[in-house]
Amino acid sequence: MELLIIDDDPITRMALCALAEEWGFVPIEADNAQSALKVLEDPDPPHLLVIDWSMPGMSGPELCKIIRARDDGQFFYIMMLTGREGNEAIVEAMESGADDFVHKPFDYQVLKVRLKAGSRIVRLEQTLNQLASRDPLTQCWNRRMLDELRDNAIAEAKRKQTPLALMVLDIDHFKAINDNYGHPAGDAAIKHVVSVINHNLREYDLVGRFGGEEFVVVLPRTDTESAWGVAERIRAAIQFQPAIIDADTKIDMTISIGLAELNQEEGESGAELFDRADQALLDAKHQGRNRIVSAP
Amino acid sequence: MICDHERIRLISRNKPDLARNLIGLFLRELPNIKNEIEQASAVADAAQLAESCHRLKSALGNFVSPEFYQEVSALETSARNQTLTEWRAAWPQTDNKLKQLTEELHQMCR
Repeated sequence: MELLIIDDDPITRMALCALAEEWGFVPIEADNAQSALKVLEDPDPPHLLVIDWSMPGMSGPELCKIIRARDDGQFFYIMMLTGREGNEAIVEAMESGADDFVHKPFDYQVLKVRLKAGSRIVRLEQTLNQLASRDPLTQCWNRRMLDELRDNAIAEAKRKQTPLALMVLDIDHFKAINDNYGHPAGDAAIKHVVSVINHNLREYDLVGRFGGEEFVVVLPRTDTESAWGVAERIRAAIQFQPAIIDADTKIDMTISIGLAELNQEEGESGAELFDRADQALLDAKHQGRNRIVSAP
Repeated sequence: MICDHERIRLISRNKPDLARNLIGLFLRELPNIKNEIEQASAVADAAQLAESCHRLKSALGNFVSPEFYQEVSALETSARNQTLTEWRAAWPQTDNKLKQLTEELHQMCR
């Protein structure tokens, strides 16, 4: 686990880094609050932090408050390190958002066990986050998380004036699969569909499971024409690659897809974009299934 | 003895190279910190003096006995309270101990 050490004193930083490495952490150094905030801008930043109280410029408690004001849902376990004494310092540190507090000069054994406790909490939080944001069967995003990620992607597309497309996919006659082969086979079929979808997407595309057999794909930096190409690859792959349940059982499937490109001129919202793609999916179903329909 | 050998051993996890690096870094930093302190004292800049004493205290925390750490902590408090006469009376004794510490650390590295 990465450990971000923020201290203006190079000697303390060097000592902390050496200890952190010995205790199995990967230390990252910052010599002031601004440098630390830059490190924390990374999409996958360190989540365990040791912050010195007194630093030139922004103090430890001020840095804590800024980190706690983030609204991206990321959890950070913050340990404040300070030469200040007395309960008032502890209260001020905790009120500014620190989770724990260690006096300088630190006792290395105390620091070790407290960092270990902090890392357990970070891991627990990451597990909870995973459980709260992923679909347990397919491990793609669940509806709540995909809505959030979709809206973030739309905000970025508007900011950068780049196109964005959204697809709603539904397995045709999925109830018949469950009825004919049983629910475990139905689950395997759903996992197969997600695997095919993932295989045909780029790293930054987003896939979510919206309902039993309905999926949503967000395609940043993609216009209708390119999205159609992606949709057709997925549709054809599902049609021609049956789900293999066991040596004797293969399930042929088809899917219908509705797609829509974000209408930036009218300031379309994520929910409105989804509604248009969903309507296009209904049209695809009404037109006979196993097809793609693009929203006007 | 100003230097806390046990603390240096613990903090460097008994690794002589790491101990030498930590001490080397401190010995390189110390003249700058002392210079900062003496300049702040000369112009009676209590806020800067407190910051510089804090910097010294942070660096010393890795090497010195609790008693000496507390002595420097008291200097920082004195500067924060703007009792500069008191501060100036106490500094020469601390400065002497810093010289003694420097000698002890040099000996450790030999």
